[in-house]
Amino acid sequence: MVNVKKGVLVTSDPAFRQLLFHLDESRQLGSKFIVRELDDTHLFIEKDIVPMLESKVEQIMENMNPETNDNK
Amino acid sequence: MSVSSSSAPSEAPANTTGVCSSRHSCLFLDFLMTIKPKDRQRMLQKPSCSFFIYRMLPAIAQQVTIQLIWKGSFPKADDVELTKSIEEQVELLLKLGIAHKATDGKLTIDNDYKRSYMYAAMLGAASISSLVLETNNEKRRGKDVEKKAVERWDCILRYLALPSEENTEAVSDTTKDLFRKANFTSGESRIEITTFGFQFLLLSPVKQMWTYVIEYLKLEISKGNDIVEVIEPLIQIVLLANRVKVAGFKAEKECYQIDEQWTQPQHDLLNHLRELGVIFIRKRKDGVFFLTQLLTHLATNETIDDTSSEKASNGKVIVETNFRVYAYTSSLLQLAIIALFTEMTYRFADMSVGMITRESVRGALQHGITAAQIISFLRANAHPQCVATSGPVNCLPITVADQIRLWEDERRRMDLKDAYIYSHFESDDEYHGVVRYAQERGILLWANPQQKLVIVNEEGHEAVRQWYKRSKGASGDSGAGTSSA
Repeated sequence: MVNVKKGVLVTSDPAFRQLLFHLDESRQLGSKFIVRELDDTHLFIEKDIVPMLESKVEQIMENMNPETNDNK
Repeated sequence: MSVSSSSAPSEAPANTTGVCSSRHSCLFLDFLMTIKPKDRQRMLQKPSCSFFIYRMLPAIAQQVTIQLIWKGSFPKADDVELTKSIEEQVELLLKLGIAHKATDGKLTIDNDYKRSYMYAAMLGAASISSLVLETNNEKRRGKDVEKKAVERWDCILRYLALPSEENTEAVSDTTKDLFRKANFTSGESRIEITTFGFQFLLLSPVKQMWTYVIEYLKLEISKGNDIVEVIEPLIQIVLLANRVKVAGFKAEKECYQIDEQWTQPQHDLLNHLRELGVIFIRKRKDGVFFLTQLLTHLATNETIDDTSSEKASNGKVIVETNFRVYAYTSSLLQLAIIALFTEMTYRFADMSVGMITRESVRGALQHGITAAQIISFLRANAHPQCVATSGPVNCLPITVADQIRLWEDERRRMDLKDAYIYSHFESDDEYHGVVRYAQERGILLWANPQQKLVIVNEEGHEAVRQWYKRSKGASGDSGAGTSSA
């Protein structure tokens, strides 16, 4: 019998995919969320985690970015 | 062909500029596709409506319509690309119910449409309207009507951009209701602008006005009012737009009678158009209304408005390569819109200075405004001198435009789509069956033959389930195509 699961398809570049792996393995969002590793640019993840993941990613990207407007 | 061009010479300039638009994006036509086929058919029977629909059609669709009306067929193009764009627009005509496809694939024009269009084309735009023109000397429009009209429209935009006490009082309850229903604002007592509201503010005036009118019509439908009853007077008024231009100073004296026989929804429409500023009613008891220049916005085919010269001439924004923005305006509305994505630093009586920073643009992006919208807004509102020296595209420095796009891209590292994943297929046939079906329906997002996984989008799940039901019923093989529900 065929299995069906609801979730979210993530399309990203390979580098970003690694970041998602890291978040998944280190359980920074409280639990694992990757359902399937599809290929280099696609992942299938849990739907419930999306809002938390988005804010976490935003925060990480923000930390990595140098202040661009401090010379004003 | 020659007959149509001689009967409606006033349309010619508007149409020729629209040639480049291979894809239609006309709000009015899109709306027309969503209403009930029965109502649409009734509209096609009205000469004024059919004439107006014709005007709003993209150029190729207009050609096809004319050929179908007069010759009953239209010539094939020998160019592959051209054939494709013709097919696209024929599709549009089919959807609108203007043309029908017979079982043998032959295209015919809708009889109602043909009759009403020909009737309208013979008489001309102004005479098909049932509105009664009244030329008189006592009732004058007054000098500053045009200015007042623009103020009215600004009032509505200001309500969205700066929802303060004073601005809230200036708009009618219907407008507030309309914005809430259209999802432009949220919250009951203290209103807040939503993503869609922001996007609305950045649209060109023509698109804004059409969006507003379409939302109004949707509201009428949701109230259960007869939509044709409202659209017909609306279109008749819009068709008069040429009068404003042609009549010139005579427009001062030209007014139209408000028929007491009109139904309540029709009176409501009139009141609404008055609020928008497209018509002017001095006093209700005069029983007449005047037209204003703003009406031409509604008469413009929106697909061609991006190059409108009117906008280019009143732009007031200068953007420098160092991301500084100078806005030579005292209009609170304009400043509020600019402040959506710039950090304002100085404010003088007639000009303001700001900086486009990463933070400010990100703030706008977080509100759901796209980089493309910001860029097109800055280009559309560029100071005439910028346009004169560097052209309509480069009036916004390329570095700035690129940087705004980069800021948007850095937020879009991942693309999320709600989906369903199918795994553990029983056989190869089953896997290939699902993939083929999903591909045909355009719902397939991802599939891999090695892992035997299929991902379809959220809407597609139901379709795949139906497919399973059917293929189970039809002895395993999928290609049977029995539509027994």
